[in-house]
Amino acid sequence: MKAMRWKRAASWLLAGILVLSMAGCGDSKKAQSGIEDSSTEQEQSAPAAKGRYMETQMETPEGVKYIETMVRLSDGTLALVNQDTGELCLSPDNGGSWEVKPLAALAEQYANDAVEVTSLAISPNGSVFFSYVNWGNTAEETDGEAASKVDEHYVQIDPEGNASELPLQLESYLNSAVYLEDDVLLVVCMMSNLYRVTLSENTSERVAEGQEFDDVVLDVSYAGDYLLTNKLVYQISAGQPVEDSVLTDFISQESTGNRDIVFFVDEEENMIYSACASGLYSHVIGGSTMERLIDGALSNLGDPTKRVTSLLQNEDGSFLVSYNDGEIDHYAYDAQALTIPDRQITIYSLEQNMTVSKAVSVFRKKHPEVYVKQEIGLAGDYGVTKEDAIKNLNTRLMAGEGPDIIMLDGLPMDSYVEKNILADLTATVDEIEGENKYFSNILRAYHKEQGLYALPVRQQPVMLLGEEDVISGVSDFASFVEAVNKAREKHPLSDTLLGTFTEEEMMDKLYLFSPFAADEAAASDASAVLQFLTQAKEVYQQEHKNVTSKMMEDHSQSINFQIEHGIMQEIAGYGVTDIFDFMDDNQFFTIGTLKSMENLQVIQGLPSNKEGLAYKMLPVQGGKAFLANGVAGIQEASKEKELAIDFLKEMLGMDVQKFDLEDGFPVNEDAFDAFVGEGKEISFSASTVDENGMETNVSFIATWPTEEEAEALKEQIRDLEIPLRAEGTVSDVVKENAEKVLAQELTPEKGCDEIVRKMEIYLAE
Amino acid sequence: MRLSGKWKSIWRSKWFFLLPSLIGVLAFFVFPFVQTLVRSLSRGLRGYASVLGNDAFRLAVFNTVRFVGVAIPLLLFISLLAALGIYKSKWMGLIKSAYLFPMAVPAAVVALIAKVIFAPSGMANQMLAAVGGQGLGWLSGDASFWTLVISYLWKNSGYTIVLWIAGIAAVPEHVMEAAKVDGASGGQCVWFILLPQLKPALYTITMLSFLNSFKVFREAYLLVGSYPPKSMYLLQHLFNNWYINLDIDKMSAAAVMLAAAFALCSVLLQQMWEKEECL
Repeated sequence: MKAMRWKRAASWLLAGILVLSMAGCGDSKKAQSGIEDSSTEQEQSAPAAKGRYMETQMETPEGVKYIETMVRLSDGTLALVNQDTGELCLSPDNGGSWEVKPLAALAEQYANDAVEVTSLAISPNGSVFFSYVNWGNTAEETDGEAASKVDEHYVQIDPEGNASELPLQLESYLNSAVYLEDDVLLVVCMMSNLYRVTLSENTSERVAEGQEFDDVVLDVSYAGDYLLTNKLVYQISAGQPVEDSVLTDFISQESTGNRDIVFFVDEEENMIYSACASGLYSHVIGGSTMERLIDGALSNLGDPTKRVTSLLQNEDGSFLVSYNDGEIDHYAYDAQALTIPDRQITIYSLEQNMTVSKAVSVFRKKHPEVYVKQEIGLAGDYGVTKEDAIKNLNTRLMAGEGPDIIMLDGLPMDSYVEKNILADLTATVDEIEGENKYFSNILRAYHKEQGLYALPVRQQPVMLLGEEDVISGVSDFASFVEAVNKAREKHPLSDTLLGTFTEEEMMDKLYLFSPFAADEAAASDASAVLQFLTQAKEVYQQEHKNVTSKMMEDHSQSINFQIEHGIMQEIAGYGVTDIFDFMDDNQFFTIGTLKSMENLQVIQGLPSNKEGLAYKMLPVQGGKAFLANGVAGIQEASKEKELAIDFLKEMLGMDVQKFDLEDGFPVNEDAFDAFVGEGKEISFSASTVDENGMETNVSFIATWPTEEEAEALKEQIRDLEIPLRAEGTVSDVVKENAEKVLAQELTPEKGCDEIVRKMEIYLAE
Repeated sequence: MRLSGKWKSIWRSKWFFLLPSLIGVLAFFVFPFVQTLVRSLSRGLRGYASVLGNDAFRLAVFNTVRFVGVAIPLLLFISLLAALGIYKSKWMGLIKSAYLFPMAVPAAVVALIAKVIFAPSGMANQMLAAVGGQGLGWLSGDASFWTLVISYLWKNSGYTIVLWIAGIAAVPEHVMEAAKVDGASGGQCVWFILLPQLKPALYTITMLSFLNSFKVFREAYLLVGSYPPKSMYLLQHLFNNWYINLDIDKMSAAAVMLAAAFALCSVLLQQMWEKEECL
């Protein structure tokens, strides 16, 4: 009997464990990240949960277009500096009204074009410190001893407005500064050191010497008594690090891709608040969770065109956040507001899409009753592969729980159309074309006989840049190969021709020129594949003729640095690296897409800075090809289809399309002019020293495109009609095997066999 | 009266204990299968015809059958030899553990090791070169089929050896001793006494090996992705790719056919075994 009781108890225990283990199969992401979400708890709790921080825009001091830092003085006054006029703006009533105090010494430096103000700080008593470099007096910069001879000055303006130059002896040059006390500054020098400077004594001492953030010191944030990086939380007064991996992991995750994050410390409560693109969080220092108080998607924090610059907390627990565009927002808790709006639409993309984020922000302001949930399939570091993400999405689509709007980049778009997953958007496009002028050739590029199921929200023209006499003869890939051969004959000693070093980089560029990018079925044509592989190999051999293992090593280090700091430049784009390589005679061609005005400036600036260069549309598909970025579709079974269509219209509307989000040009022709707008010229001069000690000076000026130049590009865009596909199964298979051919792991014939065999299976499926 | 009450309680408790698993089987296996069956017939029998006419499906079936036909007999034979070799050896425990070790290795690690061994300039080709042979495309050409077979044998032989040893241990000692007394040699003892006695174990081992053979997809997928060389393309690759493309109708029809084939094989094996038992 006793044994029976034991067995029964054991059975119940096992059943209990089973139930618990099934309950444990819930949302593991939340547990992994250590982030608790009190801002959108409604999903997990009662359907009408209430309580949310509401956003109100505060009055900004007149004329302030940019806020780098906003602080609270010891008497509670808010203070910030107008960086156009050099005035100190003070608000004794917490942002209700502002009074302006001129700072003549600072205004004088802002007015001088040769001067760069490198750091600026406001003390608790209202003093202002700034450092500046007068590049006009820094002629020595080009003689190889740049850092030590920079004409750098340090100035303090007291609360009465009296300026005095400080005789500080610091490393050049100052990158940022912040007051720890009225007389004590914490400064970050460009040469990667942090100093605590006592102004009245003119003394400085190293802070956090030997700590792990030494090599990335420029990424350090400061709040209260703490220095914060993605590796370390350091308490200045204690002179030692604080164990807080939850916070460092959070910083690492939120600052990926050079995104901004700011902090505020409530030292009495031992609490740290942080504001970043995903929201506003609270965290007990040394604690185990980050609690999200405000969802980025429900505030301006999630707007990709805004950069958060300061975070302050008011006595009543509400927050003030300043943004780089001069906006100051107040976030106060409203216990009666719905935790999340009762209507919801979901937008899914495999990867972060800036146009979607901007549209979420714009749509939220116009439809406060709607919560737009942005889902990113490959977000975070959870080891999810692209295939896993697609399978998860498909499962949800099959269960009728899929997102309302699907960004189809990287997804099996044709299958979704074929399986009636997507809604026909012909009527929507007809409607919006009646309201705005669009590049219809782009907007309707995915038109099929059955209807229009996918709309590009951004487009990237594909350009070929190179020496005019050489690229003028390029009309297809074969003539491009000839041009590369000719260029190598002409420049036998140059490091590279296209500026690539690895097989992957080469294929990222060449794939756009392959026949498969426009017509995937061509990848099963053995003769076309073999021809492409043979030609690609020829280009790669010419490219690599002079590349040494040292160059490969340097390149690899540079790539690793860019990845680590989230500043990786896309290979198939036009950026500063291209400028250096072209001007330095190490690059003579490039194939890339135009994603931003800066790209356009580079491609237009190079021919005007270096004689003999020219650019044209890549002559693939008769020069009519483009790369679509952000291809949107609406799920046929969406329960909020009308709302989803409204969102799509917003995404294609002026308020989103006019912004340059560095992800492509507008598809809205009316927004194109605003997108081009007015901007600054790119100008710099720099010197490089090669391994043999040879020094090269590069100076480059690219003016902002003129109206005529913008109009000429618009004209070219009107001719584009063939969308290229640079990702998906076909490109994966072709690139993978082509890279092996370039690396000589496979012969072109063997590589061709592999590709064709796989394509036969793919097409047979 | 008391006795019948007890039986009733036993009967009730039997259902009480069976119910959770029955609900599980109905909810997670029977119901989805019925749904799959219904879905596969959404276009009548045309769905089945289109799958049967699909080149990728035929290739996947051919490769899967070929794999099962080659790998399972090899596994049974090699592991039986090993089991006979190590049975009653004083190192049996140690050797058994060594053979079982690959089972504890995660599929991702197996794939990584296989990549190192079977890379174009990997260990396998170096060994071939050392004996004067030519390197093979273990992960790209026709030889990739054998990469799959070798990974399967490496991973599963330990478990199968343990099963064979259990079967051998179940053979009565006195029967073997009697044969030896009658003058049977070692080989004769194995052939005429041991092997016939191992037939019940053979059925179980074959079924388990058959089921395990489907798990080889994990390694294949990690090694060469969704589109492997033709000779490595299995049914699971096809199902995986169909799911990505949301070809649910095709998947349903193919799944029903696969289940039918699997059931048929099981029944045939069982009948063969029962026939042997009767004889």
